[in-house]
Amino acid sequence: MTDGALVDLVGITKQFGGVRALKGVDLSVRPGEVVALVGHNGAGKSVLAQILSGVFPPSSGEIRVGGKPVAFTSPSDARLYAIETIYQTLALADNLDAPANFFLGRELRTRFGFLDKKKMAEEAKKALADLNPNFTDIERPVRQMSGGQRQAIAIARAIHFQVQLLIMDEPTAALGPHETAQVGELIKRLRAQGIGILLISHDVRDVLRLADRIVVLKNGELVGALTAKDTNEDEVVDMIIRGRKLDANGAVK
Amino acid sequence: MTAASTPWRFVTPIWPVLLVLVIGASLLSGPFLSPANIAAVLQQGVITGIVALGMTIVLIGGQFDLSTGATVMMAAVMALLLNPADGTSTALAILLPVALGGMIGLVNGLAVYRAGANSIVATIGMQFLVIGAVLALVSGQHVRADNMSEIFVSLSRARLLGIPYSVYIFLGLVIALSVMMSSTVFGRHVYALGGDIEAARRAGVKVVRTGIATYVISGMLAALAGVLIASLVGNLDPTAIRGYEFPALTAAVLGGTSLTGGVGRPADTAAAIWVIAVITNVMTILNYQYPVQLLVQGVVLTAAVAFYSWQRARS
Repeated sequence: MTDGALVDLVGITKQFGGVRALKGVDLSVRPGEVVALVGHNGAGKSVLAQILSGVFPPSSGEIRVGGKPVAFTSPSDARLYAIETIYQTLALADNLDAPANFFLGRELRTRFGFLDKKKMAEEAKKALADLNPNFTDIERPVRQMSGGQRQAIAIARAIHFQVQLLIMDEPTAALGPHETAQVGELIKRLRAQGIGILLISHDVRDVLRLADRIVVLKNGELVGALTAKDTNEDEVVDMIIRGRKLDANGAVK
Repeated sequence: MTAASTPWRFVTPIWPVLLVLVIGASLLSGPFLSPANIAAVLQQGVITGIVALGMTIVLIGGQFDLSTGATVMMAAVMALLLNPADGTSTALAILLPVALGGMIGLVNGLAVYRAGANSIVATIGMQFLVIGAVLALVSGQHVRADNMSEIFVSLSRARLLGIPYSVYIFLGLVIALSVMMSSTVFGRHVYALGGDIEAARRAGVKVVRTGIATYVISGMLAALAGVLIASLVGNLDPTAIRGYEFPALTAAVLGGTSLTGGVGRPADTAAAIWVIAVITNVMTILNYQYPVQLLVQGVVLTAAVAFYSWQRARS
């Protein structure tokens, strides 16, 4: 375990039927640190992220928050520890409007116990305008919205509430260059606020630009950890493709 | 009217259709607008309507409840067997069937939301189970209650301002359930379930608990409908009151409730109930027989479903 880490994953394995998706992965994220998780499709990146978000439990291994072991039975458990996730699928209910998705699972109520729709609409509108000033027509089903707008809702609700660790699973996969740059700015801003970020991406250039550390997964195993400023695209790609084991001291061979 | 709004604000064309039908009916037939006939139209849809309200909520959550017809039968039989003659037995004859209806819903909900059973199969299984149990209990005989208390009879027969109590019960339920679905956290979560259950779960919605509650509500409402039948008829052949689930499903769909979940409103289902009641009533006044009435209902339903599909594909 790493001193001062927000979150430690220790020896995490995950078995789906006969498939071992993760084979003993160790990973830590400190406050104000951007850790990128890279690897091929099927390397186990999303599985690891979803274990940390509480979507499903690990088969073995331990999750520690602030050094203390925790068990998540659902994503709401992870939220209690201020772990928020922006899923690759965005996890929006398409039939609901932006404020409803924004506050889903933590709706505001009036003092009579009813939904405070007005206040939720106002707060959601403000939070979304922070990300995208042109995003004003928010009270329609999100299925009618653009990819960028949907992404904005998923991002806004993840950072609006108390968050210490933000998991971003392919946050720019559906975005154009301008919006991708905006997400990059956002990551820098959140890091400056001391929020830890686990960034899952297959875009090595993005990762080099945004991350402090780069962790490489291959076939469910952690094959390398690099410091972003001391490495380059070739080295990262090489590690993704060939995979090199860590030696006993945790250093790359 | 716009398709571009969220479920609880979505204005379905069922209300304009109802308005046009009422205007058309009063032009076609003089007696239609007589107070007695209006009361009859309103009363006609109450039993199916109450079942349909529960069906609507389960459907919005993205599931089916085909056990409701059996629950109606169970509750009607049980209410009569409890022989509601005095105050205590009347209270029991209302409360026990409704409680048992809730239990049936609980089991449905556990099967579907906890165990992950397909809701069509699970609730048809429940239907067989309940019908089998009831018929075994009464040995296939008629059930009757003698000396039903005035209060019990009044549930369906007493009138206020010329309109039966049961109509007020229905209207009260429509209002209460509309508020529940549009303005409470629970209602919001039911819509989220029907929209994307995994997204709802990841957002922290207690999907199992919420889903089970939709079935409990549906079971209790179906049982209440059964109690009202008991109050109305006093004696019945259990096998004669099967099959309420499909008219209820029809009304929910006609009102714009999506069979794939996430869309629908209790009040729109009520409007659909009245549309069917007006059509049936006018055709009866104009002396069209049952086969023709069925035919017209079929055309209306098919047209409505085609329209909704087209409207949703466009949005």
